[in-house]
Amino acid sequence: MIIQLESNFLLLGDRDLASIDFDRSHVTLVELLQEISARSSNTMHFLTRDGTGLDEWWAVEVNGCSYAALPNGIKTSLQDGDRVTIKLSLICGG
Amino acid sequence: MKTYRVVGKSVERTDARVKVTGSARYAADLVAPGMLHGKFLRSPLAHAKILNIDASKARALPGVMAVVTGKDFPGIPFGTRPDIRDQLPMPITKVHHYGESVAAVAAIDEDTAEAALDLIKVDYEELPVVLTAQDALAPGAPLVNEFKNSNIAYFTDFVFGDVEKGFKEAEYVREETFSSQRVTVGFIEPHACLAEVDATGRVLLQGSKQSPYITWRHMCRALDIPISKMRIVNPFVGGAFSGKHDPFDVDFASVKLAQITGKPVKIVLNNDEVLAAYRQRNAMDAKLTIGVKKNGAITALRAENILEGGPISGIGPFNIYYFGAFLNIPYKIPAVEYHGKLVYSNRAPCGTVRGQEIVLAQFCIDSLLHMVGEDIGVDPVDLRAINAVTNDWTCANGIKVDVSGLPECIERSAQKIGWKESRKSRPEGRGIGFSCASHPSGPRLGGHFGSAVMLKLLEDGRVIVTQGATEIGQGSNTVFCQMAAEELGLPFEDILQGVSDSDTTIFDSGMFGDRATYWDGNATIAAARDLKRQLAEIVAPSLNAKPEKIEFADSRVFVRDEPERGIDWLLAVRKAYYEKGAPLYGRGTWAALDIDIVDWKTGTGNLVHGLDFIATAMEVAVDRETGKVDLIRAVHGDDAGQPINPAMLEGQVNGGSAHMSGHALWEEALYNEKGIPLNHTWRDYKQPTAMDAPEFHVEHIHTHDPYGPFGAKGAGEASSCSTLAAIANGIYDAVGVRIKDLPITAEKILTALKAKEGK
Repeated sequence: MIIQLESNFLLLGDRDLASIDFDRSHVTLVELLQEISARSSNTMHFLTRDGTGLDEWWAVEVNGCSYAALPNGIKTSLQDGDRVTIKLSLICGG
Repeated sequence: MKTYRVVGKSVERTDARVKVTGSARYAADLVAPGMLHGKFLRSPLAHAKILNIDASKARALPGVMAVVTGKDFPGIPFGTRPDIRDQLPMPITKVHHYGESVAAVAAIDEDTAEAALDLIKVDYEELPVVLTAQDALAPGAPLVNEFKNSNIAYFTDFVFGDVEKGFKEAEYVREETFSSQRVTVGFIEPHACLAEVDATGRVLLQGSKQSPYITWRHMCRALDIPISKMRIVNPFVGGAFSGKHDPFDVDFASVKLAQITGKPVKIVLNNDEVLAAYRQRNAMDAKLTIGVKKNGAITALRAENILEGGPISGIGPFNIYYFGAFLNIPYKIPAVEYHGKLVYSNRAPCGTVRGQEIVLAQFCIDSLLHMVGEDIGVDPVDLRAINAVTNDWTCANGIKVDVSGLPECIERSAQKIGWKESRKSRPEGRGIGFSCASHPSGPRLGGHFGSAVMLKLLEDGRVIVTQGATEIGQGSNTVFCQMAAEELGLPFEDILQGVSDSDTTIFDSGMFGDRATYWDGNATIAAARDLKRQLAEIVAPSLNAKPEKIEFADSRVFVRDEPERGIDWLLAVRKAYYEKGAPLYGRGTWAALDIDIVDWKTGTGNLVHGLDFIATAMEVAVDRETGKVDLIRAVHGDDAGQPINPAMLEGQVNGGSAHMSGHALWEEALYNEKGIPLNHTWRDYKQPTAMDAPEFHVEHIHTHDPYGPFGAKGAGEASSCSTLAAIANGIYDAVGVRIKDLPITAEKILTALKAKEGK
């Protein structure tokens, strides 16, 4: 299954990633984030320390809907062709 | 132009008297019962593995209460951006720069803590040192940061507009390289804090912080505690200039030592420690290519920029972004291509300094513009005027300029400095240089960006203002009090400033980027209106009027157009308190939600409202025998919209310029080949003093920003951005030598003069 990706930064640190092709039929949002994290050249943690929620420094949407508004949150099952948007949610400047 | 009662007046700063009489309490002045004192053991090496730390003898020393190292923290990295978390509270496996703290001691007094440091044994394995950008990018270079498999901490590639077309249309093209040195931030008060932990384990941190909410969030993450388990209170802050946003080992170690001992722990650094091991401005290597028409109109710009930023990325990605984004302004450039890299090194960590890296971008572009003007025979003032952005201009990267006073800034600064007269006659060795700049009034870089203000109405009729923005010496508290007084119709003296305390102050993203006057100013007005609305609802029935008909002026509450139908403000307040039992709070928030969050991949976005502008004219004198430069006069044509407090605004404009004159001429953080700093004392590191400052003039160009509070824009950083090139161009005008690598020392000028004269 293919998940389309959108972001406002280079998803893998040193390069971008427009989609991920999984060779299995069931993938959850949290598994997708872990896959991106594993592929990134940066140390990228999407999840809170206990792994139950999303770190507040990220804004993640599935097909334009905030992950938090989905019934299963980060455990939402993704479908082939779903579009996941990942944005930095920064708090500071310079 | 609308006139106001309080806004636009140079009222006395709310903190002036306590500061000049020495009664203001800074972090180092704080005491708590049973307080311990903390000290750091620091690395003597710039890059080394930590093989072992034996603190047993230190712990056994009478009076020592605890020793902590990096291993005492949860090992959770933190960082300004969540995709680049590359920092730990204290190092665990390796040291990254000279002076990095490897252990912290808490003892009953400072002498005991100091003595304990000598008893800690650290085994290191020395590693090769990466000092420069060239070192960092060399094939096979040793890796600096353990969280990244490359010495490129961050990079970006932006193309705005049709660059190829722009260069094709150019009638003259010139390419130049520029470089800038490491400089320190330059605040007076060293880092300091006092940490306490109560019986429930809740932490109270009182520290010298620029953006306490940034510190709070990062610290709670790295300490693995929820933000509700920590309270952060700001005492007076002795300057910050972007050097006190982040949490430092000072903050982390004091908290950890307090957690372990159960006692308050205070750590106060000295200036040598700060100069050796804390935030500096990035070193820069840049190459710019510019295309212009015969009349000087710019058609395209291409820039490459490498910033060497020390062993962490910190705020560096923003620095890289700012350099490229602000090549698009203050001049009309239809096409811009930009490639920026931030690289790691084994020098002190970088943050940024006043003006952020717009300072460096502007040095490059305004130096290059002057050179091009010489080549094509266009006067430097005319060259800037023909390219200056005007009202309703959209830059190639999407930044939208609502109101630009830049053309008038240029005209007035040239007139005041006597540019035309100087072309007819001037003393030997004298010259005048120009540069312009624009600075945002608080960009919207990310998600959390609102400002919030709360007004508490006291029963004696006075009002306390609290806001998340921090008073770090720039005068923002006074500005907020002026705005509240203006909006509420009260005397300035009736508005009091509250304390920045995370328990009672509303969340704010921080104090940076000229944002406080603009963002928190708008929130102040909103809070005042909220307070008036509540009071009007209480008073209106007794005046037989509808609440929306109630007005506030001259400490009175009355029916619109019938000032005799009203009561004194104090009576209205008492009515609220005593008749209604309704103590009132006014709450206001503001965020520019109609502007874009930056797209970090493309660099596009309108980013900000309230762009402030400056045109700086600097008269210099150069001694041909010694190369010594004296700054004679500086004239800043400054568009900060409606000045809220003209005297304080002038202080900000002149202060930013004086600050950067050191960057231009004297300052440099020097290192030897092992990465050991060579001049980390105020005796050896040459910052300018009042004796080095020129005679300053600020020409206020009054504009009215449609989004700004009372029409104001941000202020204070634009003059930092315009000063470097103005000085470099002035030196060229004086003696005909062009120095492109900062600082422009007397030695470099003499060498260039000799080369020019064929000696």
